[in-house]
Amino acid sequence: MGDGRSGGGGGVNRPAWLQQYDLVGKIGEGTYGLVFLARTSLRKCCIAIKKFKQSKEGDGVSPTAIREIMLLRETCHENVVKLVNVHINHVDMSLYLAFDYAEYDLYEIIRHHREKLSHSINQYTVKSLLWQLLNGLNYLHSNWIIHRDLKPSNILVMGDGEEHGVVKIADFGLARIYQAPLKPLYENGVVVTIWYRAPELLLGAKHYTSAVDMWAVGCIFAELLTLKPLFQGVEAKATPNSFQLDQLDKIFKVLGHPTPERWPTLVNLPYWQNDQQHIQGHKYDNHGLHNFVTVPQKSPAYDLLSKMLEYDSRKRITATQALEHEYFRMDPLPGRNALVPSQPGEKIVNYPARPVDTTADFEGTVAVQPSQPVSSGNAASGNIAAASVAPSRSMPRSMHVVGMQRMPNTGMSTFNVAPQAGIGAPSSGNIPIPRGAAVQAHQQQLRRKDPSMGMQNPGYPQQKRRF
Amino acid sequence: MADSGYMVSLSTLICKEHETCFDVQETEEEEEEENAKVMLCEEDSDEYVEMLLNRESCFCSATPDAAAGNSVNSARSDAVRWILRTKAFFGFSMKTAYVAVIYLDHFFMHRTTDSIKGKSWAIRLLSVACLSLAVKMEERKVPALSEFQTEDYRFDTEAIQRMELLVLGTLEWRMSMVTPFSYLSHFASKLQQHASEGVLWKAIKLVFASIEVMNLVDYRASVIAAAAVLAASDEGLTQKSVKSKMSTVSSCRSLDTDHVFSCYSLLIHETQKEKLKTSKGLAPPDHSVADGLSVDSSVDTDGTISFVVASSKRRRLQ
Repeated sequence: MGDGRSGGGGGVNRPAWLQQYDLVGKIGEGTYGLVFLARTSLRKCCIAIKKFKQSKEGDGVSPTAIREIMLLRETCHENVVKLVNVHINHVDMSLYLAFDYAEYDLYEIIRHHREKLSHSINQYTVKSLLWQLLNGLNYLHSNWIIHRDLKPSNILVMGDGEEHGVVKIADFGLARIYQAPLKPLYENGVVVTIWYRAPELLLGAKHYTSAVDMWAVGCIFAELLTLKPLFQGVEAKATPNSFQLDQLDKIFKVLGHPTPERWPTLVNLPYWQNDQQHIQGHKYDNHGLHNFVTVPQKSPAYDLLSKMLEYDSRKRITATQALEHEYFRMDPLPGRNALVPSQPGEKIVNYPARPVDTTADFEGTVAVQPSQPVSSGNAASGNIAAASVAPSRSMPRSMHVVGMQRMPNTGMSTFNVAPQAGIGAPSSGNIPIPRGAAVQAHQQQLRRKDPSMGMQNPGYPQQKRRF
Repeated sequence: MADSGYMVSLSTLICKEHETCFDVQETEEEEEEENAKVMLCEEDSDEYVEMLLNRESCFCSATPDAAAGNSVNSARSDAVRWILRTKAFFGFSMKTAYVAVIYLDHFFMHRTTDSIKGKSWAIRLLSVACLSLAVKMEERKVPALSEFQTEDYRFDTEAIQRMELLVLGTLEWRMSMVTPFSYLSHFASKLQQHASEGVLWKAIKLVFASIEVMNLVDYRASVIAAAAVLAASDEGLTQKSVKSKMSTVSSCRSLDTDHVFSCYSLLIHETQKEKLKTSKGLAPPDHSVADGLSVDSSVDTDGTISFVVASSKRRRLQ
């Protein structure tokens, strides 16, 4: 029985679940933990493995991990990242999530255009990225899930392969199932990177809705058009829930002074109400969004953008409404492969492969040699190859699990047996993820309501409007 | 680093089960009522209820099942009582306690419990893990695991974390549970001409009065909610009258009226038992449960292993 028990005699001293992967290297690091790129030993598919940071001693399994995995188990949509497996390393009880690997993200795509190409992203790509992002979000929102941390680096795009150019919403660390739209969701710690944070949150709203995600989408849309963040406020970090004056200032400078006429619930928002920073007194000119984004003021793109950046969260456009917007019904129509335009003659941009730190092992410990990122400027296809052709390094292939053996195995294995055999399939220490019956049934439900939703392929608009 | 940390420490085995020391019911009641209002302050639009029903129907296809033996039942009620006591001690919400009991019942549903029989420490460890997971899902303030100490056993935090992982794995990480409370105000407004807060509060109390004997995987959350609303307003309904009441509400039509009536009868039965107890003065200590557990409580460390191994091998087919 191939359970994941480590130890037990010669050979490679690592749990069985780890043996099904070949580590390529580390591709990311955040407050949550580390992300690795690995290949499955059998099918050679690329997998991103997210290792959760150990929770504080004595806190047990981290609530963030529980929430994130729980949400991912409930979701199944082409534009939402797919959780393939949950692994538990029973020696130190750390958690590893295995996802289908996405080669690109919007942060890198935007940066590449800004810094390397210095030309804007073509219209087809912008529209397709936005369309797919909205499809994923519409699915989440109709399942009563708010993401709460949408930003370009959390919007992934698949590399070469069957799903080339398909958008995946990722990082559900802050996401919540909202039992009710008005349930307070204040939390200790950060919610949403401030640049993409909705004004109601910045003004201290305790009750908020899925409209916060739509604000973030608006910011991302503008950034795709202009290649720079629309509202680049400087974060105040005095206390976890500091009043972000500079961020609001940036927003008001672009969108104009907020008035109770435009935004009736404004007067109820804590920071506006007590006005300790005298924000009410400051009168902002109505510069207008058109001075900051490079799209004609009368174009559908501009109309859609301004509806996403509506101050009043109740009037802000929803994902469902946005998908029906005229912008998506006119040429160029959005497509499934956002990176390769369907029209011939359009230039295909080769985005760089994600830098991989091949010196890191699964513990995130870096070997003595200095890191040598394998990013190459033009690895559009065969991006993984770029990573695996990593300059003469013997490390990546054999995984270093040194850190995992910190604890002696004696006495361990006994108690160990239980959780291991208990997780998912009886024969392995993994949770094979059956794509939830719940979700499938829900999709049928959705299908009844709206044929364009919930299905594996988001319905792309028909070409009927062409001349 | 202490090597002994891998094992559940079974150092103290003082089984003192006085329910009496938790007799702070009166002041508690008011707090609970406040607490319940927050819990009920939920969306009750048809769309939301439809989404819940849908999620629920995919989660468990349970039918009332009397197969579970008495030993499990007594172990279960012990666990439930501990969860409710601890909830009161920390001031967690009622929903948190309820969710913890759902986790417990789902765990029991997936694993045979013969091996737990008599091993009260294992039940206690399971209760701690279920509650701590529910707290992590529902509460804003989460106590450290070490604060969940029980009167009778001391578990180190690693043991609790391992049990948490076992529960998470057994439930396949599907920790988002639909509870009856999400339906109450919706059903009350539909089934009742004059839905008052009083009816809702009574319905909640009915559910909690029966939680010790009612297995939460036997009935769907929506079935429990409908039964509780009906029982809160009328104690003398027949199967036929339940059926006719249910047929008037569109969102109730998908519910199995036999299940609703069976749950309704159980709720009524339990409150009547409760009434009988309180009318006779002090509630008698539940000897059967306490005795059943204390017999074997001097468990050795091998016991740990055998329980754990046996239970993992015998996953019940669904």
